[in-house]
Amino acid sequence: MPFPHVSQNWPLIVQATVETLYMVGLSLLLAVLIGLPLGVVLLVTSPGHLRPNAVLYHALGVVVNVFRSVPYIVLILWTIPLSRFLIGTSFGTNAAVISLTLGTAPFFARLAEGAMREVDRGVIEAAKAMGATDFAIVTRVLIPESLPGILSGVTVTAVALVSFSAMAGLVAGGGLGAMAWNYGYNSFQTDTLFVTTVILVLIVQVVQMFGDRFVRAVDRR
Amino acid sequence: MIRLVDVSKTYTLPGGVRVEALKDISLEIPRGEIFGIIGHSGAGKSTLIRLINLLERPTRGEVWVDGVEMTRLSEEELRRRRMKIGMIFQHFNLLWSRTVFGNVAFPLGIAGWPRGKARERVLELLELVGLSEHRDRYPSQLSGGQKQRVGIARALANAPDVLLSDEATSALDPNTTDAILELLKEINARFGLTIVLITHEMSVIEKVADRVAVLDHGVIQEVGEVAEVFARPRSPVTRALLREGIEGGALAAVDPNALRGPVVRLVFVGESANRPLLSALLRNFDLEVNILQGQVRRLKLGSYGVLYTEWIGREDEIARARDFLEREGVGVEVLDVRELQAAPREEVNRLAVSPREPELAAHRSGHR
Repeated sequence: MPFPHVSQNWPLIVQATVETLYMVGLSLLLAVLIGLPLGVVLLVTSPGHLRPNAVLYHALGVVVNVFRSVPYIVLILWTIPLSRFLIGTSFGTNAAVISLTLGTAPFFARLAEGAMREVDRGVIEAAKAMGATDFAIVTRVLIPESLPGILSGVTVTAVALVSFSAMAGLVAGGGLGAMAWNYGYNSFQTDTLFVTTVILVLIVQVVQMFGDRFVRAVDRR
Repeated sequence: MIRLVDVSKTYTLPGGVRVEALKDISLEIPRGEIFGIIGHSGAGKSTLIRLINLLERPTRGEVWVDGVEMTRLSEEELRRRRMKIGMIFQHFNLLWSRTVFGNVAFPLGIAGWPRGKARERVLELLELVGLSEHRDRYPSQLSGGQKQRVGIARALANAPDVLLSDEATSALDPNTTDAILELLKEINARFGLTIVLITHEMSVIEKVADRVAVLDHGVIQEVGEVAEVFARPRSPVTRALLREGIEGGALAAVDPNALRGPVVRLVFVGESANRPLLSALLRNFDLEVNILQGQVRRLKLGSYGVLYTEWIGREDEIARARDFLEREGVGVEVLDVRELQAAPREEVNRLAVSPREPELAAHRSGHR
């Protein structure tokens, strides 16, 4: 019997997988919803862009860089009181989502900023010459023209989230990371550790594959 | 239609150095005219054309378009005004994420046209520029000429009064350039659109412009009817541009050190083109005249003949011969040999071998 504990733990493994997908999915959604506008603001306030604003640009830059440079495992500890305040507990997948979102939104913001910075200045100028508002330039030029870059940023963020979710789950309880720790490591169930790892790897593979497909599908260059 | 009054533009570089891109420019462009602005790169052309739709804000001076002083408009008013000033670009600046249809629809979306009306308008414009069958293609699937047609359709979408052309043909091959210039002429004639175009190529000015301004180092060197400026260029920059661009040809191969006399540029327009003045010149004056380069050029309105000649003879004889030709209505210019040498050599050579200018009468004697 090569996997003595897996069949016995199977319902738990399924539940842990669902929890991981939930944490990754919800955090990804929130990270994009927060990160994309943040990336837009970082871009348009940068020197020589649509709305240069040195104070805002540098202030946001510092905030984003602080979040990006704090190791995620430390960020989890800092968000424990925040989770208690926001959702009344620092345990469970929802608590993990808070730290995951805080950990990846600034990361995604930088990726989105970088992707949108690649949009040709001439195209922005043409839109201006046509009488476009700055809002229209963002929604009708910058975002659609950099969609392949933004989508590959979403993919990179999703992959990072799978990895981070294992750590978040370990602290907050839930997901494949917690499963690997509690059953695989602490209870000496090497087979459970192995299977949870395989599932995590598979999730990353699938995310990457679909990400690449989406990027190709929207790339008309 | 367009009036610039004492416009200057000064940039301050990061090091605090101030660069005067344009100095006290005054221009008046009447409605329906095709007005060309020519100059070497770095002359300030791009800045000048961008002042008209205020993509560049002047440091001093007034910019009037259709009776409105542009610099005094609020941001919202300026946006509305810009919808009536179309612009096309050297690198087309299309949105690659949109189809041909989507690109032409873009300015209509910005202007808030309802979908159905916008659709009709786009189809009409694609018909005009001859791209109806390509409407579902993406820019990456189009040739340069087709991309510029999309750019033109897009620029015309909101039925502008003015079209600004920023080196629109500089990235295109000679045949495509001609086709695009024809399209611009057609649009000008059909809709009475005022067109301002900037270029570094005299051939573009020659084919489409009614009047031309020569810009150098941020200053307008001369302005006038194309035929007049070509026949009697007053500034060295204009002469250099003419030589480099359209008239030079074989002249580029002449070694200035091997010349035995001054190079004289003769221009025949109207009446003077019909009389045998050259034989009269040789008969009446003690001169040897060596033809270096000659051609007949067609302008948008009319044509002119130009001869580059080397005159070998006594100085007073040369002066008398010059007076004679001028009295007969020939444009005469004695070129400074240093001017010939000052022409950027590689540019001249590139143009000399380009098939752009079918040389009508490029016969040259005295190959030394």
